[in-house]
Amino acid sequence: MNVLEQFHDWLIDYWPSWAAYLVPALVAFVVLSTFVLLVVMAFIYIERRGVGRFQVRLGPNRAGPFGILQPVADAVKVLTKEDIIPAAGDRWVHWLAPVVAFIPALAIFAVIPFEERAIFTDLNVGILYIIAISSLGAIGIFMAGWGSNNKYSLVSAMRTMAQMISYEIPLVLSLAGVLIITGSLSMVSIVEAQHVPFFLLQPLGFLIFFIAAAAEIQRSPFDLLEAESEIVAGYHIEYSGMKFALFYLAEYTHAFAICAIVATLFLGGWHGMLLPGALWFMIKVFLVFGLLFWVRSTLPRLRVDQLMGFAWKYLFPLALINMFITAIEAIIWPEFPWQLLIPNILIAALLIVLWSGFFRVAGERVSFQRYGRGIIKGLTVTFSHLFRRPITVQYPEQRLTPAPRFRGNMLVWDHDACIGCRACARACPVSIIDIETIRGDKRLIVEKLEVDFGRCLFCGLCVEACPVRALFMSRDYEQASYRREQLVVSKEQFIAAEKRPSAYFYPDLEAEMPPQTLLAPPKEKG
Amino acid sequence: MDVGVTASFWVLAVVGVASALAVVFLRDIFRAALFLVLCFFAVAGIFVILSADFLAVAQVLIYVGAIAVLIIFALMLTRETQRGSPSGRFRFLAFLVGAVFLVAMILVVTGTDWQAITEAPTEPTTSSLAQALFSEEEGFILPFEIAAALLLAAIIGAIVLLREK
Amino acid sequence: MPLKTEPVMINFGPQHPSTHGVFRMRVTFDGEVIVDLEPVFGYLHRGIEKLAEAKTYTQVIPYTDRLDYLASMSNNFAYVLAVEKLAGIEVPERAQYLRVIMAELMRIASHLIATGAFFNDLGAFFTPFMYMFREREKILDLFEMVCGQRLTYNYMRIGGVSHDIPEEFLPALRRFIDEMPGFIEEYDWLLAENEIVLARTKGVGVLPAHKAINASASGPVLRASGVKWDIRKADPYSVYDHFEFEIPVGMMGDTYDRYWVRIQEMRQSTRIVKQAMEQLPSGEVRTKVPALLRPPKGEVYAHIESPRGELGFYLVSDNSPRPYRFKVRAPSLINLTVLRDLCVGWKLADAIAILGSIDIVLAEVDR
Repeated sequence: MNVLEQFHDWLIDYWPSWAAYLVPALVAFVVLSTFVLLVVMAFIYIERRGVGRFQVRLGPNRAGPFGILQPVADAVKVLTKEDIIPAAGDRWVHWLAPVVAFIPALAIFAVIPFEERAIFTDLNVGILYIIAISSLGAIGIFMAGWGSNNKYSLVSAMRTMAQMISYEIPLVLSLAGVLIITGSLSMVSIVEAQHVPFFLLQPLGFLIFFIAAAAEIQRSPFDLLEAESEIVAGYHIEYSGMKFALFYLAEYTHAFAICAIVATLFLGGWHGMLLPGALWFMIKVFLVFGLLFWVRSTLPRLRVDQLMGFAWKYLFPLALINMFITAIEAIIWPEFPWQLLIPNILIAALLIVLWSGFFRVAGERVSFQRYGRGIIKGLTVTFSHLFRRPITVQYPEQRLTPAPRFRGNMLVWDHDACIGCRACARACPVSIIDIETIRGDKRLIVEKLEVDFGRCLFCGLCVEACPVRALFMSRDYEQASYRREQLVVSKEQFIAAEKRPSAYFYPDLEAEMPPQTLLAPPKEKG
Repeated sequence: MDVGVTASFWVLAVVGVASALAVVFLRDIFRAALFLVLCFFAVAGIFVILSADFLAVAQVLIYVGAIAVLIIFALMLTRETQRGSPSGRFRFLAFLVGAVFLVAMILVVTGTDWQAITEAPTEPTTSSLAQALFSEEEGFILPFEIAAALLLAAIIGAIVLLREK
Repeated sequence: MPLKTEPVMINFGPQHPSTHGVFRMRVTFDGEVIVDLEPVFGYLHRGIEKLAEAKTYTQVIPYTDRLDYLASMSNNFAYVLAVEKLAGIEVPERAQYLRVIMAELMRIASHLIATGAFFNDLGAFFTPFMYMFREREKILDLFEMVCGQRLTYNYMRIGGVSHDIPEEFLPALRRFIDEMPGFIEEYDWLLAENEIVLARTKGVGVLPAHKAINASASGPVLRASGVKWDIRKADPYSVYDHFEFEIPVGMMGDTYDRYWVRIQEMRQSTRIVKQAMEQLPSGEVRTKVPALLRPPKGEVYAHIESPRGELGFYLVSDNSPRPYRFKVRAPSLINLTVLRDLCVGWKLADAIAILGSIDIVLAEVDR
């Protein structure tokens, strides 16, 4: 008896029966959609920060405290972009495609049990409904490719559909093991049957489901068809503004749905001690998502034919064998005692190792005999970087000190010491120093001095050429102006400027300079 | 509850028939395929009204998820889909055959004595369907396996035909 | 009845996230497979060779910085070697050792970028890129300490180097050299045995040794094909004969070998820098050379092993302060000639990986 049914029972005393069905459904739909979208925004934020930490940098941290408002900023950016519609091509199909891509991802949440009674509806055929709805996404992608009137995006849409269809088969077969153990298709009963979480009883099923699900939602390492650096056009290349945002949201909503399904089917759903069940569920969801973007930040992409080969020749047979073994276990030990855990894990490891020997990818050149050992090594490296201090510098609040000899922009000119010999102008490779002198009583007086810093190479040859100490490089590096003419510095500006010389070519100045900020400062010798 | 059921039935029926007509009459083949998807959904909705939960989901899974995708792929691999199907010379004959078929179907449907149960099933239909298919005494396990073997042969045959030497 | 297919030509670039600069490829596909590839470059041509004829020999040095901007020290080095050869100028020994240290550090930095960008093209989502840039930042800090700039150094002069190293340089360098092998190990853990990397790069774009030699390929491209040719050993310049190091050579000449050779070269460079640090003599760092140097009439060709291959400068002097002819033998341009043969028969994703493994810098290709 879930929450909605209670609501219905309470309403039916006041309102006609159809309203008593419709109103709870609408209310729950609004609440659920809002929740899902909020969590999706949290996912986007967590992924960007998390991937940043894996890459030894901070993620976005400017929009709001700790960058929490970054998804909001993204949403605002995307809403204010111009909506470009291809002139030829099917307008309605082009318009509908993002909707058809997004709705199945959202519809999956109708059967996700956040807690024992917090579920929109506990369908008898919950899992089957999920599989059916996720296969609809392929149609949305195809509509996107067709409506763009771009033959390359059409080809890419077809390939994406082929990828989604190919990976559905290991996805469904790996679920079969869970279903054999549970004996029911309903999501709530699957969670209730997990006295031992199923990822221990079905380790191979868990791995295959995770990999196949990642491929379904086109996440790295299976995201060849939406990667910018590879293809000429993807299926969503003709989309801009909110329509593109819907594709992006659809991807993350689908990712959230996949994490929720994994948490329900393999990690025990809402089971857990001390904390409320729904909180445990969300913790598990975030853990699975962490796994997803951990894999994304570590592994390069598979090529499209390798992707398909991996699905058909590796995952599909393994999933089939897993189903057979689970069926045999179901006949002999119908209650599935927890002691089955160890033989299951051993069988899974054995199968992976054995099948890797059979599987040849890239046409006999590379075998997977390493059974993922290299991938695991890579994952450990990325994981170890989580605990290192990020090397991001928060410019402009935090400015590093350049070296004492730094060749910054803007020369520093000592007006009194200059003798007007023009050695600097002769030494400059790009002839940016323009000096005109007139004869004074004892020496030449510089009448006009103009240096065009827009063309300066900062080579320092002028400083080296000066016979008296009249010219220095400066310590600053910020040279930005709105007009190119402002970069031409005149004699009066040189005289009036704040003199911050660097110690380039004049090492005696080094003593009074602040030390350089080094990324790896030398250790103190003991 | 009757109001709700009736209203949803009529909505689904109209949508289903309209989209089926759109499939037949639209010039743009791709839009026709999309309306076919809509028609499949309407049928799935009608299954839901009849409390056939497994059938409804299976309808979506198989028809929309697989067959519609197959039809779309086939459309894509042909070239001049924008112009729609050319009008054939057998229009009159096709209409005649279609009309005969329609009359035959109506006669069969109205003449059969359908045994309908008016209340919803109390237990999930999945297990009873499975019993009907797979149980040894009254099931259809042998035709099921033969059909599976036939499908396998068809798949292998298709691959053999298309493989480049 | 066999299907009739027609080849389609796709234009790749000049603006594209993974073509390493403004580089255009006109690729002809038959279905998935590349049948022809025509590289089109010249988008970054700035006329450096002609500009150099109007500058004095010292003024040309900042221009050489901008030829291969990812390996500026090596460019400086080759050029000043050429001028010194032409004018017969002796370089003090401390300056030679400093030049070698800088050149080898530059090799490490350049290979870090090359490998990072290569894995970016493979799709590893910036992670190896960020790790390698972290080490490159340390090298750039060292360079900034010595000469004040991080990308275009203008450090070497005709007759030596421009400045002596400050006293904080050697401790910082020591820390870097001690830690670098650990970081290279980390890169190997992340990437070298990764099955996806292997699947994408093993056997892809094989360059047989005879083809590499015929095409005048040099650098890691040549060595990955199994040809043990490194100018530092074959025609030693400066003080390279004082050091003990090995030349890593690949076996197959595929994309994986080119990446592997670069990683091993980083290890060997660390060795060289360590030995140079220990052997560093004291003394002057710059011979006195007139400001308007007039080398005697003649011509010279000087080459070094830059991170991308054999970088050579051909100078013709007519006894004036400005070179009469200044020609750059750019390794990226010569290596680029093998691109078509390597890519034909592969798919587009492989073409991008192959281009990344050849490691071109457009500024050098176009000059």
